[in-house]
Amino acid sequence: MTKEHKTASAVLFISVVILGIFLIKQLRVSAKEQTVLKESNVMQLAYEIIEISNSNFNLQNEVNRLKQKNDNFSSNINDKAGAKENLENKLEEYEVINGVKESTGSGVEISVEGGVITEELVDLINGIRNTKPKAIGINGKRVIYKSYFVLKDDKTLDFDNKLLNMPLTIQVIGNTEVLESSLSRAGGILDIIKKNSFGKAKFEVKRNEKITIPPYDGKIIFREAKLIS
Amino acid sequence: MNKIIQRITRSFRGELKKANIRSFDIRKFNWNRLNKKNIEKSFQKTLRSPYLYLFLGIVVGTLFTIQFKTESRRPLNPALFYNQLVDVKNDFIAKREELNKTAKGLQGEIQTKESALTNKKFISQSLLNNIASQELIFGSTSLSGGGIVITIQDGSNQVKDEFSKSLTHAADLRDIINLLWYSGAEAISVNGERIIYNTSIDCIVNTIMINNNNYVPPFTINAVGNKYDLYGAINSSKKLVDIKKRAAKKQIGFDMKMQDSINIKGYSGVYPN
Repeated sequence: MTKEHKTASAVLFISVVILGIFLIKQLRVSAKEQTVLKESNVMQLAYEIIEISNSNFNLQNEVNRLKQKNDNFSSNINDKAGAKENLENKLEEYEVINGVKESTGSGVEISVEGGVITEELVDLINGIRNTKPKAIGINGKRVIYKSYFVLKDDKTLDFDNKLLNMPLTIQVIGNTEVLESSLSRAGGILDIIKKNSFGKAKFEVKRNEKITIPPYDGKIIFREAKLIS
Repeated sequence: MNKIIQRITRSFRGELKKANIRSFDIRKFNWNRLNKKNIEKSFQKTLRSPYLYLFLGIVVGTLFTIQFKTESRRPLNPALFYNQLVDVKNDFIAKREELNKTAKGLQGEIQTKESALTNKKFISQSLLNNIASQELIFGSTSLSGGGIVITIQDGSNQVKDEFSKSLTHAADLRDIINLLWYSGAEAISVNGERIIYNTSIDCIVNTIMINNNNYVPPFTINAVGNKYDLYGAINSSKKLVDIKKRAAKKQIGFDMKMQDSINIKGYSGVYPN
């Protein structure tokens, strides 16, 4: 192989490598552009951001509340009555969210009529929980963390071993504005269930300034579960 | 420009003349000349030809131009908007982690102060016991016991026009959890995330959000309770019909087993103090 031949081969090799690199880069950029320019992808990303933003908003509120509590705690740590009150408040808060104490407040009442199935009721309660309410009840019975919903063949609802007949009234205590707008909006959980049931399921959301949901009337027993110290 | 083209054309004609090529007819082509020596000779001749480098130069130049044109278009088209959204999302996720850390720190401080109070005589033991019981119900404490472990994940067998059936949906997890509570579960977690009073399980684009945290398949559901009751209910042919149908077609992966000891961690998010 002559010197000239070797040089020519080297030049050819380098040119081909450069060509290959640009070709691959170009193809990658084109593929990425295809992805990012798709409207549905942008919408999905925007939706994800809204969810994270909502979650951050709630967390920020919680941090503010904890800061205030921590400051108050510091000022009354030597105050016996204040310290005791602190723990009593904590107990009460637990009892309310755990559903073992009556809860009263403003919120919404959702009347449910027509042909809903078990999965739709599960989705509906999940949608309500997503709004982070203070308390939920169905026909005056408290919904707790371990509540279950199974629609029987005779169309009665087995809700925590209690059989309920249609129509149902779901009481929700919480931020009335958030509850009403999130549940009633187009594309919200009620709208989805309505469409999926081809209009068989019917819902009505009403505001109520004073809703009272009694405590859970069942027993919460831990037979198998043991505390890990 | 025209002058350059004319010059190149003239030069190309000259080269053809030098090589004594006036016309080319494939029928008259002497195939015997196609041996290794001649090919090598022809290759060497090609390598020496300036037209090869002219051609390569044009191709590389064109790619350079396309490349730079693509890069410069970015700020003007929706790709920038998309990239900005990705940045915003990452910022929000970082903020969420920071807020969670702050909240946990504050909770820790408050708990330390509360623990100090428990040694004081003026706080009754019954009050402390009641708080402990409520914490157990709430799910802030870790538990252990017999139960079942269910694994559900996207399937490998994707049937045409039934793509969504080969994905694990938030609704699948909700239905399984509802059935577990029905069959007497005492505590449940999904991928270590404890199910509490206001847990919602929602599909967020291509992830599933549980207690404000995002997860992707596979999902491991731990349930403590009577393992035979739990297994029997989940295994019943009348329950979770759709999930089992998809699992049978291998559109999703679904597996469960009984275990004598399962650990379920306490809720790791923000809770009452």
